[in-house]
Amino acid sequence: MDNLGEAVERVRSGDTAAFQRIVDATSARLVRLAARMLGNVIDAEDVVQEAYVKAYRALMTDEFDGRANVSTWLYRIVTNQAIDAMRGRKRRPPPTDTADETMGDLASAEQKLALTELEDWISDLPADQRAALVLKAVEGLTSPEIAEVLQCSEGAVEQRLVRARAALRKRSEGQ
Amino acid sequence: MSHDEDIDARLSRLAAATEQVGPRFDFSNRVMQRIAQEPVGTLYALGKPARRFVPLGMLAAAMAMVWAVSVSSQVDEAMAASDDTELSW
Repeated sequence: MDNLGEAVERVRSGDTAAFQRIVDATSARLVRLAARMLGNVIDAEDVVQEAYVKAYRALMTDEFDGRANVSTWLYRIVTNQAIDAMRGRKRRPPPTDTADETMGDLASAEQKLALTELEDWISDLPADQRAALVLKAVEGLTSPEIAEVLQCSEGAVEQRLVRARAALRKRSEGQ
Repeated sequence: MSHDEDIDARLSRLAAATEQVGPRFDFSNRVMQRIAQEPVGTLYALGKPARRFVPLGMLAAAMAMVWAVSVSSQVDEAMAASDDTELSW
């Protein structure tokens, strides 16, 4: 999905409005990724917004060298932000229906239930294992792609996946 | 069915059920409002060209160091020479 090179160059040359094109092209996928990791859209939006701010700063200070695909680079920033959020946060209490309405949440009840189920199921996993599992089994990335996003070796990815599955298996055997 | 198949099947089901999850209305505008608070025209604009001069600055600092050492040794030599003169005198 990477025709964003031109927008990147325009942002770098000081055209802030061009960043909107990057946001419009990537936000749906990035918020979905973060929501799958964090279990709800509100936390996901917070994480993705901070990720965009980081990305913007990186573009303005020439920290993004352009070698990586822009989408992959954003995916990496969001994943790292989500991992930090998983490690640092206490779980957000489930919003009431009224709060949902005032927040204008567009996620359907079925989607919210699925996010909650995913969150409940994998929330006990260490953040790095959880990220690897979501990227592989929910987002559908290959191991080399996950290694690039998590900036680790493919072996480390496989190890995290094996451990995550073993933990889930152990839990289901114990139930 | 093995436990791994159970796990894969459940993950697939949850992936499908969350496929349409996305940002709420106006998320893009909220991001751009946040981005607008970043110090675009001032700090970044000053910082970027300034960084280009860092290598030049480092070179100038190195040359100044060499010059200072060279002047210092010339002074030492001059002092030593004046000591000699004083002694012979």
